[in-house]
Amino acid sequence: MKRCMISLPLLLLLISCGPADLQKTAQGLNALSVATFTAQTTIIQMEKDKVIDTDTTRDIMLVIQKCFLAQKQAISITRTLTKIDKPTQQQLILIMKPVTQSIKELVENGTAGIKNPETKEKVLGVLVAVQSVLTAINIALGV
Amino acid sequence: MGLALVILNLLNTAAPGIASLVTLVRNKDGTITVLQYLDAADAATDQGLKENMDWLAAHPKVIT
Repeated sequence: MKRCMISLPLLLLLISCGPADLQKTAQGLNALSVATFTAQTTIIQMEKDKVIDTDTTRDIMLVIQKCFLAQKQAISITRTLTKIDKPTQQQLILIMKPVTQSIKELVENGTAGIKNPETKEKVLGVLVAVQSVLTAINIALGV
Repeated sequence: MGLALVILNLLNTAAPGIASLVTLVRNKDGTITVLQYLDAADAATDQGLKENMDWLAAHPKVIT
């Protein structure tokens, strides 16, 4: 085996094209874990650097936690499958739905307290990346 | 396909910093199995969740 690097945009393209299947869902969950992890690391660092306040960071971290917990649940379900049937597809959609909504609300309203435009753009950037992967997974699941 | 391209453009425009790379183990035949994707996702999720809980525990909400 050898190690390889796959870009996240390429993964998104692969995930969101064609019918839902196990491989695409697994790729999507992997891309989501990377996007969520990256978002969290960025937000924690920005709070450490005092460019965003602790209350705003806490609000974002609580939504990110929801995302991690949903990922964990979806990974655990997907691990047991040999193919994605309709009931499982519905189950995964139900897991992803509240997280997708929370991230959407965070993107729309969660950065209102950040006054510095550059900081706001950075925070929105990492959150929109998570939202994009969730959108790709939802497309792959037929939402 | 169109929507996928919209998502890609959105990602590249809004978050160039997160066009980060995913390191995975590729098999000799060039494939990456479902379990390999899930193992990588699980490891990142566990680590992220731990850091998340540690941060929240260290920064409790102060009600005045």
